[in-house]
Amino acid sequence: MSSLRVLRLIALLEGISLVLLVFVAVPLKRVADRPELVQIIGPIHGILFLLFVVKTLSFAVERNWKFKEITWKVLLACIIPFGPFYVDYQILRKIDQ
Amino acid sequence: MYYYLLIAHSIFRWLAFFGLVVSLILFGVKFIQRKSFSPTDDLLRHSTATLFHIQLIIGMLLLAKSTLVLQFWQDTQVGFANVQLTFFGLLHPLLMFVAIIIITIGSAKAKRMKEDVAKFRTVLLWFGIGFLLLMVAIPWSFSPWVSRPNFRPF
Repeated sequence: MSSLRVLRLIALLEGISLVLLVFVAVPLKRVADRPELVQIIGPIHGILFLLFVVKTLSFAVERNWKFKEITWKVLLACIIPFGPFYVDYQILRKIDQ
Repeated sequence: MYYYLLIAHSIFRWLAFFGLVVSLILFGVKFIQRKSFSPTDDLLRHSTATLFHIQLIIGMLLLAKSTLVLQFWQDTQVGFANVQLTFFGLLHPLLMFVAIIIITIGSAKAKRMKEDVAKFRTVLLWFGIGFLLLMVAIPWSFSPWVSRPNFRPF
């Protein structure tokens, strides 16, 4: 698997984990007082997030991306719910082709 | 679980650190002797970065479970007054993350370089900066901030 494919896979997983965390796990913890899901998804999301940041920077440097044009968008997307899906569709998918 | 992760993080530190030191020495010698950047060198460059990424993942899991980290963030005023809490709650994760980003960037930059001399110089510079950060932020037994065993029994 090419490093771009790895990055896209991590982006996808990171996006899913963020959505699950923000829209399912955290409401369950705050409203229903059931923190179990946060305890599981929290660290998983943390790992995927760190991996995503590291892989994005690594790939950006390798491919000589302009930080002001591409890199900042990709990095910002991973803290916004559904952001990774958008960036994957708009940016990463096009680079992959 | 926490204890096993801690042991893994402690042992894996040596693997990653060893990879970095070997890279620095080998690349340093080859750079001075104007040798070519062989496929083995490339493997070493990439493996070293990967070892640090694995160490980052173990560290992240520890961060989520550590009571020291929790204690630091529950009351940061008390946290900052305590060297050990500040170190594990803030300094260690932050410095290590920066160090790993630097090592990753260095590795990626070198991959792009065309000339062998440039490859060696790039890796040496970025890995060197990463090495300095590691020396500061690893809780060595001789660390002036927090002392932890170099080898944890298990």
